[in-house]
Amino acid sequence: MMRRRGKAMATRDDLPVRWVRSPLTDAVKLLKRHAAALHQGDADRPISAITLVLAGHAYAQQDTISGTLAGILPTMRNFIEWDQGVGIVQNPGCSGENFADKWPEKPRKQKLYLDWLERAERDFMEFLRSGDPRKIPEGLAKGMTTTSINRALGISQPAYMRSPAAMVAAEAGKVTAEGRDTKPWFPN
Amino acid sequence: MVPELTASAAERHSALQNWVDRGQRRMRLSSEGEDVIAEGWYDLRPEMPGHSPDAVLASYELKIVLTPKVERIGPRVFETGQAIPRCDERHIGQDGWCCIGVFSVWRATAHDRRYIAFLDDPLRNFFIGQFAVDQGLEWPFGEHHHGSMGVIEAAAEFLGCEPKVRAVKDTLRLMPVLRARGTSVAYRTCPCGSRRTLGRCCFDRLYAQSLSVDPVTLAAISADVEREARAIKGMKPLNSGAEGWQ
Repeated sequence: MMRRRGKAMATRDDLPVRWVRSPLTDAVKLLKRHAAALHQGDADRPISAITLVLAGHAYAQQDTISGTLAGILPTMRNFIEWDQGVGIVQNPGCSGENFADKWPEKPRKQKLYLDWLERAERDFMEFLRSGDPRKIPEGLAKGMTTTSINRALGISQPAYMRSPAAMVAAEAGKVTAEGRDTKPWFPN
Repeated sequence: MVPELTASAAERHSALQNWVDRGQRRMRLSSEGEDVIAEGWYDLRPEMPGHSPDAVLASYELKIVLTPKVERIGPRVFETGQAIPRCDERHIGQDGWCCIGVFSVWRATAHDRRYIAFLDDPLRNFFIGQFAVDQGLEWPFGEHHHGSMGVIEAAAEFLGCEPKVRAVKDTLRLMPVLRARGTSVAYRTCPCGSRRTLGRCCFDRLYAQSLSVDPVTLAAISADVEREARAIKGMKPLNSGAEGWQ
């Protein structure tokens, strides 16, 4: 922003490349929601800057959000540098800046972050493996609706799983189609 | 005359244990006198794709009793959790007895005719129906009429004839004759009510059916139909269906 003759003037540059929405952006958003929901109100909760940097390092240009999560979660921890048991997460845009600079003085922050990363990996991988839209990770379920999560992860819920009535109608239809239907009766 | 088939306690225990192990592990086996019993939670599991392997649509507390006469009358199933109203519309007697279907007719049409298979499709279908009714839907597979006419109706559906006592009895009597004599009885009047000769009407279907149904099952259906026909005529009214049937 510049000032000329007492008036505020703004310049408009092209958006930096990093602002282009990619599956990584959405995957990080889901991870941030997961962490925020699990550690709500905790001053030592995992900070999103660290997640963003580690996820950025681990990202291998996957083209879906679920593929991105499956790719980055098992490898994110590999991008933490270690100095005598204390983690260092360098800001790639500003050498010398350590996003984990509070970890030496507050070991709980480091522990919470690493525990959360392990939990996130377990929750998301189990969710993605099962493909069951109803098995949403606990952390996510607190902060987002089922529909939003399924939409974000590209998991479409079949119509027959959207309500108990639809589920039972689908099961009955399958039985009838396979010729296994039987009728109840009542004696006098 | 229906041969009096009995199953040994060891055989019934083994059959019921295998059924429990196949997916109803919340049920426990015990014995009461000569009866073998499974009690506990019956899990109604979905079969449609997309569900996790441990998904359950609904659970019901049941008591399943295999009497020594199970080969003839089928497993007796009682809903013990009081989760379903005891009324005709829900096909549950006052004592919780679940009227799953007409056992003898089911056995004539089932792929797996072992009595224990009655606890697979028919039992599951019964509780799919209960769950559907709980959701405000109709019985998904339809219902047989209550009482004696329900048995006549079930037998008529199986035989492909009119749901009338005379038509059902005539068709049942024809079955062993067809099985033994084949085309030589094609000149007879078709029991379906068309007034044509058998050879020009239902011969192929009935002849195939007479070969596929074993004589014991056929005798059991005939006995059931005779019994209900007498009840319809008022010659021998039934007291309690549960006692009489299962």
